[in-house]
Amino acid sequence: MLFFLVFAFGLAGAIWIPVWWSFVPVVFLAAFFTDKGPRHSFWSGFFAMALVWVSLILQRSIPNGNILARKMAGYFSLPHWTFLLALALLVSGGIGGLSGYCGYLIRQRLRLSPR
Amino acid sequence: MLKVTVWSILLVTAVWALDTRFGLAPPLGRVLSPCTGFWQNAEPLNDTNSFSIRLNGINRDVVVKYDTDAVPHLFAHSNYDLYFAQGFITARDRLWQMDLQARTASGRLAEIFGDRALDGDVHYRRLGLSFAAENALELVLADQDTKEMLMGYTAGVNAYIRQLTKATYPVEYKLFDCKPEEWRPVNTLVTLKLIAETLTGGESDFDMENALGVMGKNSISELFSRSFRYPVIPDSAKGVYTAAPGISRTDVLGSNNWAISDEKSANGFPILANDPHLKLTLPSIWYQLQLEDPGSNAYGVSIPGVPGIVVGFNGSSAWGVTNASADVTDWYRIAFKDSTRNEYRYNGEWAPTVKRVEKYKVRGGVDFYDTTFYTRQGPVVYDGRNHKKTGLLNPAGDLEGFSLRWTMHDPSNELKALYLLDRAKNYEDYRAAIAFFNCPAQNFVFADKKNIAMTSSGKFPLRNDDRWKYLRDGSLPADDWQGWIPMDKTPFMEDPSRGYVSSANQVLAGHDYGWFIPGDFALPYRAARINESLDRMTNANVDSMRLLQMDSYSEMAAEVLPDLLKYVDRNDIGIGHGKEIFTDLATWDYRFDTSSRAATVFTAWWSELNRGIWGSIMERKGVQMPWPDYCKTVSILTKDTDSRWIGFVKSPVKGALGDIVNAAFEKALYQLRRRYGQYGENWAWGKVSYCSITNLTNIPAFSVRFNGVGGAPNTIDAIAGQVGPSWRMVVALGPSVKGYGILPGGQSGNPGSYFYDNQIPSWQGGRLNELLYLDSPGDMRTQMRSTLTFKP
Repeated sequence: MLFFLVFAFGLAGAIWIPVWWSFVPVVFLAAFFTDKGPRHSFWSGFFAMALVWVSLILQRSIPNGNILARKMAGYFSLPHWTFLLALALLVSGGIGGLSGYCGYLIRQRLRLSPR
Repeated sequence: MLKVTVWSILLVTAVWALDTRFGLAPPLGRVLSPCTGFWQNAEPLNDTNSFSIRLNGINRDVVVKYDTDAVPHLFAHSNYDLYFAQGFITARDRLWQMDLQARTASGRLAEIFGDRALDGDVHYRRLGLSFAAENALELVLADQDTKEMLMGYTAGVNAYIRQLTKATYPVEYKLFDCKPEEWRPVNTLVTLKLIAETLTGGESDFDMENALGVMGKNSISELFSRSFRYPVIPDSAKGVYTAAPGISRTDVLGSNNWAISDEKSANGFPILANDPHLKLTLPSIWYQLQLEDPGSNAYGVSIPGVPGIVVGFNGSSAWGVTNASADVTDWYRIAFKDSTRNEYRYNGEWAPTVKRVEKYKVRGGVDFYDTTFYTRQGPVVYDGRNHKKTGLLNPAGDLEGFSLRWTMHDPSNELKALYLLDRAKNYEDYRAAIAFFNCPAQNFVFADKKNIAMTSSGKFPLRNDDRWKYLRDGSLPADDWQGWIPMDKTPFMEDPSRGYVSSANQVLAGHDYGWFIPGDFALPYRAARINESLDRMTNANVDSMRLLQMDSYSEMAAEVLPDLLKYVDRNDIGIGHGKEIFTDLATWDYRFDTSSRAATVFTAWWSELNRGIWGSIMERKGVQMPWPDYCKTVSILTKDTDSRWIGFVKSPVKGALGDIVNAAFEKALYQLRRRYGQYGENWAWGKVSYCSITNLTNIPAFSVRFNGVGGAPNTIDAIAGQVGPSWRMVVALGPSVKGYGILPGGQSGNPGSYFYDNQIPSWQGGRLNELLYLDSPGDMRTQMRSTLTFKP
């Protein structure tokens, strides 16, 4: 459930909001409201956002014959363009996961505070 | 609570770090993101989308047809709309290049690249490129045609910039974390000044002054002044021609142009060829396009940032350029009254300087201020603050400065020349057009359906003396320039009886020409080869011209190698395969073909030989001096074999030319063996020589480097490392004009586009693409890639 929420809204954010970290509040809020466990929140954020980025990247790069991806790999001194894909996966997954985990943590905090 | 705080801070910090530029490292999150990052710049290979855009500022529809090489063909109903559309579509393909060139010329790179670019910025501003552009602006705007041209183009570029988003910025803006700024009319003019600086901005006067101090006037004239055969415009009455003296350089860029008359061509109409050579870059220096409006229909290459076509053809005529290589700059010693530099000595009195305070915004640093002082002899580029950069042997005092008098600084309207050339129907139109081209002076070749012509056109200063190659005295009115060669008296010829005109950066005119034009000219070998080939040519067609552009025969090797070999004993070569090497050299056809091993050996030998003869004389510690050109070496080896200059060589048998030649040969062979192993396939010219097409922003991953190129400096196909033909073009005039051309790169400036470098294989292979010259937007002779329509 959380995974699909993040995927859907993260994708919409990536397409419609021209800021690369637009998914941070999206994942945060989704994790906050669905209120799953810490691992669930992190990994749903991680995999959903990684999937969003990797799909969007391949959708751009494959029709391009990966011309630019190869050149950019050279720019970053990487041996192959798929390393860039992996890097993008780590960035989107890492930040996505972290956002989900923070959403979960704050929900826990608010639940505890009335006591 | 602590846990929440720690993780939240971690998240915010990570997002911040990924959104921030560190030094030259781009903001990683932004750059890697599929929605804002570089992936957005990955153009689909088969993008054939046609669409229309509504644009404020144009008056009627403009249709842009992109052909299969991504060359845009523009069809407009007025001049203004045409140049508006040119601005828009050029920016669409080359915005970063345009921006970078304009910023370079106006000394504003530090705004993007920070401190590291500041030195270069200060130099460009002191050279006064912006000052020159501002001087030209008034003249350009005073002419109705060029005003429309410039203002239309500017508006078009800005219309493109305005519809960009951060996601659609060219990729370099993302990598360097900056944004495009509004294009101003003066950006176009400063781009033209940058070209002028590239082609006429040499500083050899300081080195010559050093040589004068070290060697004295007699030696200088012995080493550096000579007459050359094959001037661009030969004396009319003589068969073989001698020419006015000039310094010649061995490293001049190797542009060629020529046109043959109807009598020499197979179809009875003139044919014109041009391959301007420059430092090769990606994106390509040139941008191909066709410009059509009710008054004109021209095809050719333009300079990104500048409206109009520079080298090309229309329905009636064709034209092209090589650099005239004339000396249109002089450095003057300026004596300031005191450290304020408010006044300088002129004609026995103190004359006021004009100050221009320059503010530099430095990214990541504090603003920097610098004042340039302007004299009647131009801006003071070097003064007490940066004297060392001149390399002068006798350092100047703190109250001394060096100003640069340059035709580039004078008001001129080169856009008018482009405007008129694009519309030229005949010889008279061509002559009227190029009279507007002041700087950089160029050899303009021309052909219409009946006539051919060549004009060395530009503002050529007149001096009182022969001190043009040294520093001049800024306090003496006698050292001032004394005016110009009138524009209608610069060297030219029309329809010569020999049936062709040609130029290859060589000396401009023969002895019969009444004016003196000094310069840093190319050696005469390319010119000789072109002229001798065209002399012989009959029934020529486009392919004859193409093959001549690709000709790798070295007149220089042919002239000198037989004499060199006389000194070598084939049985006494102290390296393996000695006899084979000797035989290959002795039977060489003097062509720098990719398979030639002799070409490699000759090149290494020649280089060692020049070092051997001139090294001990010219390489004095800490003194910058120009080296004598190859012709002097050739003359020592072939005619003047007991020259006194041989006496300076540090060799076991002092002064024995044979020993020097042999020592250079052995040294060259040992070095080649060390680098390429035993004499064999690895010594082939195509494996040793290379071509490097460097990215304009110096990004290695966006650059291309390859072996397998023929040609060498001083052959017609003069490819040497980073320098080569930046555009090859052949145009066959006739009932319908046919053009052929190739770029060492492509149409797009986007490294993420197939069209960034797709023409390189054809360029390397010496092939030309047929240039599609359309009559109207509805001309359906061939498949078009896409159509872009601008609607008001």
